[in-house]
Amino acid sequence: MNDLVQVVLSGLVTGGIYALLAAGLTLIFQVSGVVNFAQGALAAVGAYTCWSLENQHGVALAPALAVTAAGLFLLGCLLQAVILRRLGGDLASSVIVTLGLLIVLEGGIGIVFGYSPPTTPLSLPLPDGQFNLGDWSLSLQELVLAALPIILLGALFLGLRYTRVGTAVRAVSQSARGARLVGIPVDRVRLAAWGVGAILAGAAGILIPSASTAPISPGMVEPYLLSAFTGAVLGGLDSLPGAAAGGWGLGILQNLVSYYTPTQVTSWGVGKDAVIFALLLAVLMARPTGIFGTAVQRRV
Amino acid sequence: MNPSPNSLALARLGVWRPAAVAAAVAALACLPLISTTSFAVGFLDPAGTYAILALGLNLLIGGTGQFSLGHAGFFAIGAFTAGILSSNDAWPFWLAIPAAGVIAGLFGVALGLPTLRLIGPYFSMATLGFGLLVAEILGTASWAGGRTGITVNYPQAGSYTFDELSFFWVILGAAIITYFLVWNLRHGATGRAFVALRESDFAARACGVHLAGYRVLAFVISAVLAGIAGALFANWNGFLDASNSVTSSTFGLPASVAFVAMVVVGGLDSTFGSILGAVFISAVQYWLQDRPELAETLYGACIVAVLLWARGGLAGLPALTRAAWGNLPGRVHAGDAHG
Amino acid sequence: MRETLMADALTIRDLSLSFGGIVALDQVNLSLEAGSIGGLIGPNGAGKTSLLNCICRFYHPQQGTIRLGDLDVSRRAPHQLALHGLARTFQHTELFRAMTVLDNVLVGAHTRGRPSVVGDALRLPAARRAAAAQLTQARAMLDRFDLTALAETRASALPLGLQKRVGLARALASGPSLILLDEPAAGLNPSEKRQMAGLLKRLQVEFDLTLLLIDHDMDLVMSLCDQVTVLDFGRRIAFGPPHAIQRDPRVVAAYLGAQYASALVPEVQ
Repeated sequence: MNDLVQVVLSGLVTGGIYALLAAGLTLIFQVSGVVNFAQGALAAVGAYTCWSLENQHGVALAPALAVTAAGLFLLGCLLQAVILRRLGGDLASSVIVTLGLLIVLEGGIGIVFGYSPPTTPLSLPLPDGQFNLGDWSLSLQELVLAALPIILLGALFLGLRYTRVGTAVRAVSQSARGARLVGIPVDRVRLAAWGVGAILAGAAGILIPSASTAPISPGMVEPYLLSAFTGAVLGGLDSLPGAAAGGWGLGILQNLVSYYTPTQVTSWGVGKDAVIFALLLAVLMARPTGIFGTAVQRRV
Repeated sequence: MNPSPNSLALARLGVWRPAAVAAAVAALACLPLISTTSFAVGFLDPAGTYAILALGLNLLIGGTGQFSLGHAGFFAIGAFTAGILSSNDAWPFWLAIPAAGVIAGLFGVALGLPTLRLIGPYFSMATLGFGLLVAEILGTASWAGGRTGITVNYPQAGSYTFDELSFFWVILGAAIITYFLVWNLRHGATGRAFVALRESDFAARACGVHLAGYRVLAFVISAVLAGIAGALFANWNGFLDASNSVTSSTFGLPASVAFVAMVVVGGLDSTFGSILGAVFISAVQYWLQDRPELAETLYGACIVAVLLWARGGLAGLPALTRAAWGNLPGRVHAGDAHG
Repeated sequence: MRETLMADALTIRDLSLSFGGIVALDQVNLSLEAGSIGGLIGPNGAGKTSLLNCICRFYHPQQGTIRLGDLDVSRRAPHQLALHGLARTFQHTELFRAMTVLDNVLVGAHTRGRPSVVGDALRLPAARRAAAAQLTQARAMLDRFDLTALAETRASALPLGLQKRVGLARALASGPSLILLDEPAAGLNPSEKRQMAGLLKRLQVEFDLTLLLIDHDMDLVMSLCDQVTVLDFGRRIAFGPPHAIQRDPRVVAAYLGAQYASALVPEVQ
């Protein structure tokens, strides 16, 4: 039983990363109608920025995080203002442009830091040891890693719900035209959405090395992308709680599938990813437009 | 009168004049005779291989307007099918390669049918998922070489063994045939049906165009060609290793993005553009092979630049410069009269 | 005698369509005699375009049947209807904007060409002959519509009036017997409207067509149409020749409100 709880906990850890990525994708999609395929690259940028500040410039963790967040916010705004806005509503071009940005960002990381993973890891000051509750013994580190995205996303939801900016964001995501009519500066809201979306990506990027004990690399987020997109799609791309729940759900599902799949089957290559992809296809097929009654559904 | 689609313009330039074409082909065929093996492996073979893939992908992306981000998956399926058939079952390359195309095509049907009705980014996400999934499976499965990969022997035809240089002739031949077929398709009723579905699927269906049939057809053709390209790759690269594949630039997401880059930078919906794009990206990857990060940044920037300023891509440059030239002050442009 | 033996060009029985909780069409009946021009009018939101979309099988009604002549097409896929003589123009033209005028018309003729993918790809002689024949026919169609000079022009570059003409040429290219026209005169100035009306009448005679058109221009509808069907809130509220419809109090009420019905139609109290 303890094993199972541990598996679920690990699932929450990975799921938290999926949730952060999915939430960022959804926020950007809701407000500016673009699926940001560069989300993973933004996460990597966040990870490298934080790493660089800590290890190359000797900055302490807290200010490093703050600077990274600010930098990502600016980067998100920049991308929206300079590139996405110029494309107007052309969805097809937006898809490709974010792809282009994906490789520009990854390449950019490579130029500044080189492609080989740095030898020093991006480590967070996580506690060691176990947390004992009755019969269960759980890794403290994982508990903290699982809790962090919950806190972050919780703050995001509260912000969207109870602040003026949050209400503006929700208004724009429901109807840009209506929002403009009541005086909401839609362009600025879009900038903010991209900025916050970038921060969410960066948060995921910073957590990944601790969750996976892998060193940072430009492509470090790619293994998480399938689930991140599936999580966002599960949320219908228009529901932040849905995306977050989707992310966590997938993390747990994935770990359970891995745990219960016999190694024989795994050696065939079939495993958690196949399940997740099947889920993605199933959801997309059930709701091809993902959203009811938005501009995506064209009438003639 | 306004500019017509790029291909028509190129046709007017006489691209298809037989003598010019024959001369170009002859020149290309001489290349292996004057190149080094590393140039062949680094540029010639990839350029030709990816040209075949790009031709197919452009039918899908440029033609029907469905942006697939997972074609590295079909490329990998083709490569590994050919690799396994050649190394395990000793199939000759001229059987293994078409077989790889067929297998990739079957996967194309399997993926094309469920994704039929998906719009824009949703289609992209589904194909993205597919590409990531294939890369993951081929990277871990034991029958795909697991962590050690698959070695493919030099392809043989009878008693002649091809090496990386001479295999370019096979690639060149395949590319020429592919170009012929794809150009014909694109400029016939099939290509018109593809574009009609992209421009207005309502009107297209009202005209009798079978949405499901043509969309799946475009998808399958692009999958088959990607599979054939992968199979060709297996033969000249000689080694297939998909571990770390999700991040690999041969079979992973970066590869899928590079393929899209070839199509976009070359010129969406331009058959000749597909060739230009494949050659361009391959050239960038070759000349910057020691600095892959520069290569990636460069063609990523090219994608963005094309979309912002030069929609027609490389193939559209002639029209673009003509238009720019015509807009110089003092010159009266014929189009002005129409307002 | 020929008319009474032949089935109507279009027969719609008890057609009902809802989206979620919204009723778009409610038990609509409509018949269109072969060779006639029918009008479909009603206030905005009455369900006119929805009805056309049902006929084209873009929408799937919950109930009802649609027949083209003798053939029940209620379950067919949209692309199959072109084979049975149905064609359509759209409110917003829906031209293939990136394609040339000639290509637009060629797509219209898609079902006539018996397209063969393999034949196209390999340039087989049979396919090439078919393509050449199709091209000749398409050019003839362009000529009929005075569009020959614009054959190589991209559709997106054309002004609205010409776009509408291309849409019409595209619809005719399949050799249809029934054409649905969604607001053919919308966006045109009065002179262009008169031209369009004249063109439609001539086409109807020349190609032996049945037409069903939606439009908001009452003069156009009344002058062109043999029969008019009026929809309001998804229901058919009136049906008959134009002069009768103009006097029908229910129709006036639907457009202007009940209080005007009696004022404008004093003799019908």
